[in-house]
Amino acid sequence: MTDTITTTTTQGVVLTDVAAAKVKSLMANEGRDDLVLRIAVQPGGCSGLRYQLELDDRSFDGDIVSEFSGVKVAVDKMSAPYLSGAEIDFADTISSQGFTIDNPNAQSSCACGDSFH
Amino acid sequence: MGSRASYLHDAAGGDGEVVWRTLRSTMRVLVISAGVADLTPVAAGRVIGAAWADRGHQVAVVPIGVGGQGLVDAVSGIPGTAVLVPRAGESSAELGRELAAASQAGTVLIDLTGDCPDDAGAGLLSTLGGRDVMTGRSLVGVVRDDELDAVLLGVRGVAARRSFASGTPDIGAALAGDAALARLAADVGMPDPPPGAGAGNGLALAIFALGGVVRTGPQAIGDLVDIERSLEAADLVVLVTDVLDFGGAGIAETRAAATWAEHGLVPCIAIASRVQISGRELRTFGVESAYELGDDAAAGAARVAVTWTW
Repeated sequence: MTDTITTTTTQGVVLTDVAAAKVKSLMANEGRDDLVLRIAVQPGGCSGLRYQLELDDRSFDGDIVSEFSGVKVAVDKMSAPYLSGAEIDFADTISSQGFTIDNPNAQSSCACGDSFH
Repeated sequence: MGSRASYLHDAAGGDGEVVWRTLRSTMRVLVISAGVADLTPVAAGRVIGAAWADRGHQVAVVPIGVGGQGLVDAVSGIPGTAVLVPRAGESSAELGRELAAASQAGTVLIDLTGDCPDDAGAGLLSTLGGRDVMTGRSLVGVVRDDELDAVLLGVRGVAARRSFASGTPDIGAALAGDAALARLAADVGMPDPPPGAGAGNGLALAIFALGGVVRTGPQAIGDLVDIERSLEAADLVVLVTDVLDFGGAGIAETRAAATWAEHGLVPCIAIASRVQISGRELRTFGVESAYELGDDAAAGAARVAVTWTW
């Protein structure tokens, strides 16, 4: 018997099903279905760069937009190189709750979970 | 006093001629002065340097400043050099007029360490209107240590930093600002601005566009006075700064002096009005010891000179 392992390489960000469900729920709370989940990288934070997650109704020149389970995720062209392959998940456990970002481009991260280098 | 003459017979004298060379009979002390208490960098350097000179040693004083009035004071004694200080809250156009007017100065330093105009030098370049006012002269943007490699564009660029610093970061504003800066950079012939172009709120872009460079204050002054030559001859580097503490005061000056001393393979000590940093931290910079001057700068320096004499 032979096991087949398939590896998928993505150039953009990935939104897990759990995270997509949470985003849909947040949009429903706002009574909007025209929003995108925008993830951006900004300078600052304890490790030099930090993530910014927001529901956005704008689009910018050069945006990279992907869709996961009916949720559109937008990454601006400035942030894109820092987020290639990043996975956005949503944790709902006794120890943590909120969106988490697993970013292969981050050399190090802060315990705050919001900042990376 | 204190002289200790030694002689070397130089076998390379050639054709049987005996050549005698005098080796150093006194110490050569290089005083790097950023000022202390109410004394300007030049005045403080003279007072501290006198402690070694009075013991018969040779002393050279190099006043330094990292920016602001300290930089202006330090450079005031260097002939042919002008310092221009941009003013925040207005276009850089006035700076362009001042630069054009400073035609007698062989080297112009523009202090980018304080609050700078936010037009990335567009006003300055527009005022000059393409005139090459720096032909045959040097232009240096004086920047903070941490801005030597500041980038103009992108996530770590000026517009993104400005947006984040506003307290209400907005990716739309950052992208629009970044695009405007990219257009300006392309317009001045620098579509791929070098590291440092983001210093001084992006004003350094104009410095590069005019053929200039960015340096820290100590680096700029070191270039002006050819400090490497003095280091080759020095036996001891003495840094003079007002406050030396773990919060950052005096650290930039200390780092500069210690780096020079390291290049010259000579020890570096520090003298300050107030020292609030441990010996262990000092030595991570390469400084052997730091001494507080007390109320009488001359007397304090004299005590240090007794210890640091050979």
